[in-house]
Amino acid sequence: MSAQSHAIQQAAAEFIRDRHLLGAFVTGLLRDVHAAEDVLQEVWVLLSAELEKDTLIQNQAAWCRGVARNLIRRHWEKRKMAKVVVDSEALDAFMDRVEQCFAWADTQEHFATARLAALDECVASLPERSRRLLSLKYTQRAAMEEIAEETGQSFEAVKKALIRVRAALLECVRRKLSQEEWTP
Amino acid sequence: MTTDELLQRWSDGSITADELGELTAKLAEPEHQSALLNDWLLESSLPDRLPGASVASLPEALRTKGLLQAVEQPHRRKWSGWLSWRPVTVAASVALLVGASFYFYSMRLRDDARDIQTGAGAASEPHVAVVTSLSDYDHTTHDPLAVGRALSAGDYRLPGGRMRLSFAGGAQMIVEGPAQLSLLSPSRARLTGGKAAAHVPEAARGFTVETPGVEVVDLGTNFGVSVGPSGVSNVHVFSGEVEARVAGDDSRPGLLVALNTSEGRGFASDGVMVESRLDPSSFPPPPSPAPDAPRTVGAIHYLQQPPVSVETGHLESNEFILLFKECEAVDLNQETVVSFARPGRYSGTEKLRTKIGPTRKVTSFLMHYDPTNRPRDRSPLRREGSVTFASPIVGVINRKGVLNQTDDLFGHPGVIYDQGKRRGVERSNASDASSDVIVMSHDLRTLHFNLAVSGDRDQVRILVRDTEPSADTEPVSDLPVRTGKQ
Repeated sequence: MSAQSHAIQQAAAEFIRDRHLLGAFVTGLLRDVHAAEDVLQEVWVLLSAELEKDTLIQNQAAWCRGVARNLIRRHWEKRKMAKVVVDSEALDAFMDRVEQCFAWADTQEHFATARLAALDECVASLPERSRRLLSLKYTQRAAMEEIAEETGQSFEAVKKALIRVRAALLECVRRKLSQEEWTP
Repeated sequence: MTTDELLQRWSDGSITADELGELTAKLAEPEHQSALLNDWLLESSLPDRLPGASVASLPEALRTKGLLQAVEQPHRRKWSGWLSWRPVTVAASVALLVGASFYFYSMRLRDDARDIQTGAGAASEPHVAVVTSLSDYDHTTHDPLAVGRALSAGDYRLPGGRMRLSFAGGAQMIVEGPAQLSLLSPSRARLTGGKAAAHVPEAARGFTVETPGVEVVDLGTNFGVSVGPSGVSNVHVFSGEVEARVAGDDSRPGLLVALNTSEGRGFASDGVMVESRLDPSSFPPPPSPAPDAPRTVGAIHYLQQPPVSVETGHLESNEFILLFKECEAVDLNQETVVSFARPGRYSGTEKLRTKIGPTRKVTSFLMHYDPTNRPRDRSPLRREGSVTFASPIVGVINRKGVLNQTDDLFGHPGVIYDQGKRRGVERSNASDASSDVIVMSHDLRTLHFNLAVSGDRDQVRILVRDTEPSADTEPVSDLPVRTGKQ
């Protein structure tokens, strides 16, 4: 196998291994599932293109987040999605902080897998009704109105129920994990 | 405001500049950083961790590059993730994403940390459209595109030829390859390359096609849309009216352009309107129902071509009931047994037999419904739809035995039929909500189906008179055998 093929192979393995955190980074910033999928695809394309040019990438996870950040910016500008913040400096500061969070997570072994394992246990412990609600929203990607109709509840009741269930899951995950210590 | 509240406001897009500053300041502290990481990880990973999420294989690009072995674990993990992976050929730059000839399939990666739920109880991803015809298209073994195949939301590539889709919301679309199409919902699609034309009946008004530069909302029309290599989108209205919307924001609403019959416009990828240089005849013709084709309503969708197979599991979908023409002008030179031939309501509680006489030429159609699985909570989900034929119905066959016996006579020669155990409609007690119900109208032209999503395949053969009615319109004999309450 050539050195280049080996590098791409390694990069692919690392990309898949880190997909949870990268997915969380992109989805958390974009808040749009379809747009997040587009960005992740583009990141992979650019990464493999760089590797084919024999570019040496020291920290792949950070490189991917940097590229993703630029793509996210371009997505916002293209779609004129300025409704969140008009002050780009404030937005940059926020994204810098987010990068710090994820850079720290990179240094923690099994950061994502430990949380996902805890999440699995927490989801399994949910009442059936709560799991169904989450399935409608996250797996079937039903709109809130559709969920309300399906469950026979009002729009507001569904919204509040989803917030409560998410909060319960987060609390459950936190309880199952020991508190990490921040190492600057 | 707490960190969780601020994250919620960021997530739903309602955060103000001051609140964003507050959140940024909080994120200097480790406990708040953990809160963000946990929150975003949960949000992005939940689709994977819930019952019913489906498993798919690795991105095609990784497989073709022989990287599968590199990432496979010793105990043969099935990789998964909720993200739609659309692998592309290397060297395609971001600028070429729109309109470039790149390669992708709709895939979902799944985590392998737990057993995948299948069979009873698991809800699969809903289908939003079904392929009703394909022309000049080379199939491969594991092709997601095939006549009768129901498609979930995701990205699809048509290397060439033409494909016709029937959306669950009622719109019809013809896509001309090479094209890249994303199915977003029963009433929304995104074209990022190639050409398409849509016919949107009144009931499906509001059907929307997104392109890089513009969003086209149907207001009751036939229209064409294309996306060229440069990213310019062209819209042409064959009949009716559409609204072309360019993206905007809360402070500056996007541009709205109403287009009427014979009008066309071009839109650059940034939404700037340009002159449309595309000849209307270069769009594929909008799909229009053939004059003698059956009219369908609800969950029933008519396939313009027969599928390759109607064996169990080949064309599974909870959402779509399929109907296709089997044989035309079949000469009935002897009496033929059918289940029923008169108007009325028929359910799985009855065992009916009657005969239709010789000398009629009939065309046969097959209704096929093969649900993916039963809902997790066992609630009796049902699917309804109607089909109206141009000529009267002379007989309906809804039992396995007679279906099997008549496959040779009425079945399509190019279709694989499965004469296995489960075929025909559900038989059950009169009070059982899982019974299938068929209603034939008094004019003998419409059948209404109300089918239980039970996991068993339903097939009904419908024989329709070929010519105008003659004096001899009644069955030769009527021998109903009722073993249960009607």
